[in-house]
Amino acid sequence: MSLPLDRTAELLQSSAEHLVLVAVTMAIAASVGIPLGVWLHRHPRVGRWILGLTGVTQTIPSLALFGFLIPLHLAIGGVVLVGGIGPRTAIAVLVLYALLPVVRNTVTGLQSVDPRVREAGLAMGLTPSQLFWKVELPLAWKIILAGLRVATIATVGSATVAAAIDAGGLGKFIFRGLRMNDHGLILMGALPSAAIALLLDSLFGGLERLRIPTGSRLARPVRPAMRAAVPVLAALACFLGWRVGGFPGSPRQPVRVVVGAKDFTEQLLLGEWVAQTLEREPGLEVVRRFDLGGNLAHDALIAGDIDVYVEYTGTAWMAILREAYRPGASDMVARVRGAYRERFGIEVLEPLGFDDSFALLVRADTAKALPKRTFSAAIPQARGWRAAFGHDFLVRADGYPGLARTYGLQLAESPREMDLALTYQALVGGQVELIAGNATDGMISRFGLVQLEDDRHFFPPYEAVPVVRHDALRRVPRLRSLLEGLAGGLDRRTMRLLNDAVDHRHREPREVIREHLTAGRP
Amino acid sequence: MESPLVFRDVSYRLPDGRRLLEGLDLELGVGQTLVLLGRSGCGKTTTMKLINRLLEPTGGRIEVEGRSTLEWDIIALRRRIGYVLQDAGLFPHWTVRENVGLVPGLLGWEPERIQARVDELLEMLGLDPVVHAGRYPEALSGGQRQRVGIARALAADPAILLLDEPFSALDPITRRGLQAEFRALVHRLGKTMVLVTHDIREARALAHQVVLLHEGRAVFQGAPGRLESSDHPEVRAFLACLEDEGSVEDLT
Repeated sequence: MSLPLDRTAELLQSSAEHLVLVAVTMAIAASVGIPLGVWLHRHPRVGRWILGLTGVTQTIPSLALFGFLIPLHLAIGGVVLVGGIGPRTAIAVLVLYALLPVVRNTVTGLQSVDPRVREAGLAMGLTPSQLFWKVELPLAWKIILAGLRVATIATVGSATVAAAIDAGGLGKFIFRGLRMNDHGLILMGALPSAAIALLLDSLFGGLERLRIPTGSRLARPVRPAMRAAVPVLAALACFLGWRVGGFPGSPRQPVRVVVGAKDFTEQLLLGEWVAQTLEREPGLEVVRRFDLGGNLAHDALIAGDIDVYVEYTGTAWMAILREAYRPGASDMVARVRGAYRERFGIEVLEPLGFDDSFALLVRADTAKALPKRTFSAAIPQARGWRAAFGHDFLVRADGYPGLARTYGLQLAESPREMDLALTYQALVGGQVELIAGNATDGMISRFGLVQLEDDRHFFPPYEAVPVVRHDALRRVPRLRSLLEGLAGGLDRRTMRLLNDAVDHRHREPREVIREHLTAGRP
Repeated sequence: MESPLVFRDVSYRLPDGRRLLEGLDLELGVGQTLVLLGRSGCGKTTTMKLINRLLEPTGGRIEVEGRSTLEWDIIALRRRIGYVLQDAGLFPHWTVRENVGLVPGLLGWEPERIQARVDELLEMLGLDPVVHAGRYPEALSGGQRQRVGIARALAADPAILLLDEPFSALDPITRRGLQAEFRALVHRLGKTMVLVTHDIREARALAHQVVLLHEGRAVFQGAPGRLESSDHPEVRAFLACLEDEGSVEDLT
């Protein structure tokens, strides 16, 4: 696989970020985990408890942990330690995962020291601290080192998840590759990550073969220096972690605007659209924080890590505000806006011009035979249709079951269940006459499909709306008018074409938007 | 001259109230050997650990060189007492030289003096310093490890030498050889010693004074020659073993 030059540079940069994530994580995990293990070994009752607890944290999915930590601004003396998006939170999560093997092996290692040897040490007149530094620690060291090794290798793997909260590293390529279904990109992230893991593993292999020469200089005070080194190293690791955590820049400076985006193609395009529009304004500095998984973009907005991103009214209403949608409800934008102001102090701006809700799709020839392109008008003919749906759509109350009830839909046979992407193939190939996709899927325009209008408003509207922090609007007076200038600027058809350019033609969102902004609109 | 070791009505109970030692009195002269005899679990090792304060008495008083063990600085006390464990208890991550040089090192001896002392002790115990000093315990035989254990205990010329069943983990042939050598060494050094054993033959060969413990109490106390005249059932049982063991060893 030969890469263009800029890709090579990006790969090196990401590998370096990845290594730094792992190094900082392990420095903290070791300087916390080993002393913790020593303490737990001396307090076995608490030990069992804490080991169980660290075991439990390992079973929490990392995205869930991110979700807990992002809104949690934990600061000491104005220095944010944990919280928000970026490397700091990622490292906090990675440290939690790395702790168990380090702590457990420290306890196991100390337990493995022969009690007769410990007793001999005491009987010879070693002080408790001499016994620890000269006998117990050196004898437990191999097992402790093995724990560090396991934790390090695992961290190399789990650090790829850090990309979900904009912490950089090789995960960027993997996430991007998964999204664009591009195996080359996935490998670009996975192979270097595997190489780093192998490299570090052999490094530890070499370390384990070294015998620690603690015995030969018994009388001389070498050990106190080592003892002093531990807190120094710990402080260094924390400082480094904090510095590294700081690299993406703070959103608090007056002319800087941080634009966020979720982790799928359309969101990256919308993020770019907002970012590049703002960048055209002189004196405005734009920071991008894209690829935020799940509802992390909302958490980041609340936490003040980003100033603006594009949300969908349906997601805002149901997933974030946790309100129920009543089919036919009108003016969702106004309802969401009111609730956002009241609950979050977040401003919801005017819609961008397209609705990314569920779309009922048919082939052009099927559409031609209909009197109108609405779903109501299609019901009489649908008795002869076959349909294929994705699993979600098939079982959700706001999917097929509710749809069939609302419209009185009856099909020729019960709908088939298949992968969403495959339903398009089935429709184009003439095996079915009806599928349900997302209204802005690039495949709709590529295959010349027709969307039947949901004229009874069964599906909640997913209008794309910029959501922005009030303090950002106050801080940057031009921001409101710039963002309002986006209203109505993207219709459904344009959005499909833009999505297709990225998903199908594998072009970079940044390029696609740049072209669109220079060629398309003034 | 002051007695190196005195027990005055010493008792030891576990926190749950179980008695491991009850009302032991004894006094040991300089250069004398005390043998603690008894079955497993009779309180021999407990008695030993009370001397170097790995345990502290719950009743009575133990004096080492005229001072209660509780008045000693615990670290100084332990460095003043040599200790040989059943399976040597050598530090596996240190060489023979590092093991033997431990206590002199802790006491701040000059490196040259430690070096010379280690060489001297290894030779005294029949090990060639050139060959063995650089080895790790895993590279030694059981008998060699025990020799190193004794050398380590003697290194800083302790006031008292404690030996907890030092030869019991060895095979019978090695054991007999080492016991004989050890007897010769003891006579030459004239060390004050406490030896824990369940081997009555060893007891009779080395002891100036024998204490036979049974369920935490001394059921016999005195010169080894008087063992035969005791009619306590536990003493008789031990003497009977001696006859059995003798006949078994004659067969082999």
